[in-house]
Amino acid sequence: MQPLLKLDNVTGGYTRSKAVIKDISFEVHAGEIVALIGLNGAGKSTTIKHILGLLTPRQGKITIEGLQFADNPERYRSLYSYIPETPVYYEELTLWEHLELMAMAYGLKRSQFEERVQPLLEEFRMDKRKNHFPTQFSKGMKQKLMIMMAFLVQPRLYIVDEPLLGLDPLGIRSLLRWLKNCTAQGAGVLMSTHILSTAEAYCDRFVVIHEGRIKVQGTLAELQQLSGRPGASLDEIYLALIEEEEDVPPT
Amino acid sequence: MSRLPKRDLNHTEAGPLLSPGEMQVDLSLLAGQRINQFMGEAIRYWQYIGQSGLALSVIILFLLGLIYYDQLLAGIPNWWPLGITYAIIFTWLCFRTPQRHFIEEADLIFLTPREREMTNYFNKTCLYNLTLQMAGLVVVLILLYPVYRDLVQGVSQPGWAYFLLPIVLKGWNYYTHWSTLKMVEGNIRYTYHLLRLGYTFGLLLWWFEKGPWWFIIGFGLAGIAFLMFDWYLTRDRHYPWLALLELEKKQRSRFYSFCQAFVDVPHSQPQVKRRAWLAPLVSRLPFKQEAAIRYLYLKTWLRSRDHFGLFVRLTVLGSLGIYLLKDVWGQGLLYVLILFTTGIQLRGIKSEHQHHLWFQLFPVQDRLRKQSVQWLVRRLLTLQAVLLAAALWVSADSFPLTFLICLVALVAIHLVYSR
Repeated sequence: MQPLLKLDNVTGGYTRSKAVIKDISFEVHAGEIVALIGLNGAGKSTTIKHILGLLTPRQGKITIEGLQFADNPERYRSLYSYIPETPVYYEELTLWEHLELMAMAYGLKRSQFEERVQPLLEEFRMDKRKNHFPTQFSKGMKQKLMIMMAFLVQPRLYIVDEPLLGLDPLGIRSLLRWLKNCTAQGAGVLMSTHILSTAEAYCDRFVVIHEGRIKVQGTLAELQQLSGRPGASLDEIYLALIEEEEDVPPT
Repeated sequence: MSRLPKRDLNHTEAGPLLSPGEMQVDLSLLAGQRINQFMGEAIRYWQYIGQSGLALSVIILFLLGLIYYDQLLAGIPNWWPLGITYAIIFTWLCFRTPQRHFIEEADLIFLTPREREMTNYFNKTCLYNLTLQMAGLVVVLILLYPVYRDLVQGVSQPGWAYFLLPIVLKGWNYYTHWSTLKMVEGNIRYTYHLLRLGYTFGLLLWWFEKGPWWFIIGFGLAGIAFLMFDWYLTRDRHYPWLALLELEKKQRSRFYSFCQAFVDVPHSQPQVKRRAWLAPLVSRLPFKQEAAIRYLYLKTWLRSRDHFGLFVRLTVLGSLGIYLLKDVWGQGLLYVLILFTTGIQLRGIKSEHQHHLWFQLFPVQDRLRKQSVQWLVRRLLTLQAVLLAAALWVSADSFPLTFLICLVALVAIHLVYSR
């Protein structure tokens, strides 16, 4: 089966001269949640920017459902939706108008929009604030706006960058529940996170990035086996991996 | 307005960050440094704005004003209450005393413990504000002096008092505004603002409407009493740090969004007004992917304080100028000039959006992004061209001429903004 998202030996960065990520290869299949794990500055967000098409890989290939960004940028962009780490919004638009704009930009019909929007507003408890401007929102509420915008589109692939910080416990539960629902209906999710316990509970596979390279990837069982720690939690495996890495003297 | 909680930071506990010696911020120099830094930045932006064609428009407008001064004067109807108009204009100029004190977020932690040493700092920032605002006031005083001299001035009123009175009032307003900022209670501050506004307007109205001379004694005493009472009430209060930070952010973002109207400013935060009465304009757009970017451009434009505000101001000023001028060449020139300036200003819309994350991610063809901005500019300029033509029609009373000028303008707009 063709993977939803496929990164094939991707090397890239912000400038021509310096590569931030090197030889990154992994896949996200329909129906699974893949966690992208790494320390601050490991290259998670840079990887995501390449997937979004905001950065062009210097080497290697990124495809969503077999399609590369350069082949058809509009079609490529319509295949995913993105939840950014820091909420990005228009000061001039209300919450409702953001959702409306999103629906229009992704080519939803008005009937589709109306059908999808109400359950989202209720799930994330933002119904009363739909005519407010996001400037007045807390960080968590802004984050909820980003989440609702992403779920509204119902794409094949969700790219989620560190979504849990700033969300209240109910918001976190709602987010994870919706992500699970989406994968049950055949979508795939790539989620970058620091919260390893949540990742362990909700994600099917894990890609560990360290200093721009993939350190290890696989299911929890595979990681336990690779690290020689049967029964260990993701947290323990990850810390052991990193410590082992940091012990190596610099070259 | 909540007061900043007094942190446990003081001279001794603040540790190495505020320890005596080279690490310590030299407060006597800080204000000057911050002012200079901002001035440097502002000058650069003004240079860009000048290059965008605004400077040219202003100079031509000024020359037009000089050439047609007599006509402008003749255009003012006899029944127009000039005295009250002058009083309103100068009340607005004297009462509005924006406060910029170059406070930064980190100051709430690092400078609050040294509040007692801040007098010098705030004296400097106050002087900065006052100098700028006085300069603006004096320019308007000079611009409006000829009309005043010819049509408003009383026989017994000396010319120097026309300049002196608003200048003194401005100083008085600035000081009282600055000190009432220290009042935490919102409603009392509001009452003070109202009193200040009433006093300013009353005094100016007395002057421009040539009230009995002995009123000045009452006004003088009331002004001094207000000043003393204000000083007495606020003498021991803390500086309103949080309020100053908010004001600083507001002023700064106003400056940036003004610049944004002409040039690309990184990280500017637009100021937003809801303007619900304009919503029907947007709801007429179809709910379609092709209209998404139009929706975005139109909605953000209608809500923006500066883009929208400048458009309205240019249109109103232009219409008024065209109405008052009686010479068809002058009118034609002004007509073109207003459209040209608005066109330049509207170009800013594009640069404002193009780096936004969502704008980049939307699965919409680049062709549509470009067409949508052209669409908006074309619509707005068409609207303005028609409104200005209406003013021309009323003034020139010649339908064929108005029609011709308007037609040429519309064709030009559609040619320039059709690609």
